[in-house]
Amino acid sequence: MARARRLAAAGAATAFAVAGVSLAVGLAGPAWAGTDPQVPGTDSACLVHLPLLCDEPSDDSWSGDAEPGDSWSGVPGHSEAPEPDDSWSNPPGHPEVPEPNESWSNAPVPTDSWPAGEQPPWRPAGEDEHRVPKGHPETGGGGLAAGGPVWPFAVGGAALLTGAGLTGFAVRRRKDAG
Amino acid sequence: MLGGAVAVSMAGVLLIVLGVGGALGGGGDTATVPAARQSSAPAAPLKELAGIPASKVAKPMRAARPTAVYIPSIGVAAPLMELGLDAKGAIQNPPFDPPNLAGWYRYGPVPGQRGAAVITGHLDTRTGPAAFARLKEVKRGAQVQVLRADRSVAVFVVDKVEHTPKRSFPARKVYGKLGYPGLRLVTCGGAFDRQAHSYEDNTIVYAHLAAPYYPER
Repeated sequence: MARARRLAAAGAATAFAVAGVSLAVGLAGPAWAGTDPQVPGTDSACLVHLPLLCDEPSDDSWSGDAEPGDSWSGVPGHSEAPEPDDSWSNPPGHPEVPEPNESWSNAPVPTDSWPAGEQPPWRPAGEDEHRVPKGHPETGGGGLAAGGPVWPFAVGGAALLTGAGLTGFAVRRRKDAG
Repeated sequence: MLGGAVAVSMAGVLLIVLGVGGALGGGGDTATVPAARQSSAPAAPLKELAGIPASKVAKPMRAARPTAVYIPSIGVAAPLMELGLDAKGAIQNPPFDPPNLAGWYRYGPVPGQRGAAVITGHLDTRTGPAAFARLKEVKRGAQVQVLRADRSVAVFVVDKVEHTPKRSFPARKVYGKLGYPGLRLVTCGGAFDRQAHSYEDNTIVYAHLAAPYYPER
């Protein structure tokens, strides 16, 4: 009997310790973005009309054909091709690897003018307009992480109740022994 | 006596399980999900195009305004808006509403052109998931389809997925010049810093143009 009481007391102490650690993890740990049950799945789709429904003419003034001097890289990860991060194309006659932004203009982004009341014609940005943004995209609102993980509280709560049960058992054994 | 203690403990565990189940099943956060899904009825089937050679890089396509991005393997179908630069020189972000919206970077190559085109989308809004909530699940070899205003589809194939801390965001790799038509998809990831109200990492998907696709008219 005494051995069972000691075992129950030890178990209760362990359970309370586990409960404390679990709840501390739940309260202080970082929040992580979960996904599955809330994520838009395959039933999500576009809100806009897809281009298949659009009648905007293509830009015929731009030729996508290869020009003399162009060298198209192969598939990244394959023998004849560079990795995405080392596939900087060298300009003809300049074998050295360029600085990342050396050919990017520092001039202000040009602004177009068009007749009032008319939509500006769409056109792609020319190479002289290309810019490398500063910093990193901020593309999260925290909605998936706001709740935080639940499992530490579940484990902690279960451990608390287990400890309470074992404590009650141990106390009752002690009374019975007395 | 021992049986009584076990019974009390098991009852406690059962109560916790039931409570957690109730919390997960009936939480207020999930109330926004049906609305998000309702707003997006599929306009086209989400499936990867057959016969696309994943191991080759296609020649650049003519420039055309991108209008939507599909990632069939993770169920992404997001309309696209143009993103420029803000006053600090950082890339603009798509709005949180509608959550399904993504954006392409205006001051870089257009998807399908030679160079690294960039598309960003939110991982989540303040209340629920957004367009790129599952971007981290994309695998190498998966297709990314960019629909364009000239009725063409630029079909990209994923080369790799990278998770990187925001403090060391690889701007060179993402925005730098490429000798082939490439695409970068960017969203947030990692732990959420509640004080800064920002995720600590970025998830970046690197892809190359595998083939242009011109649907029958």
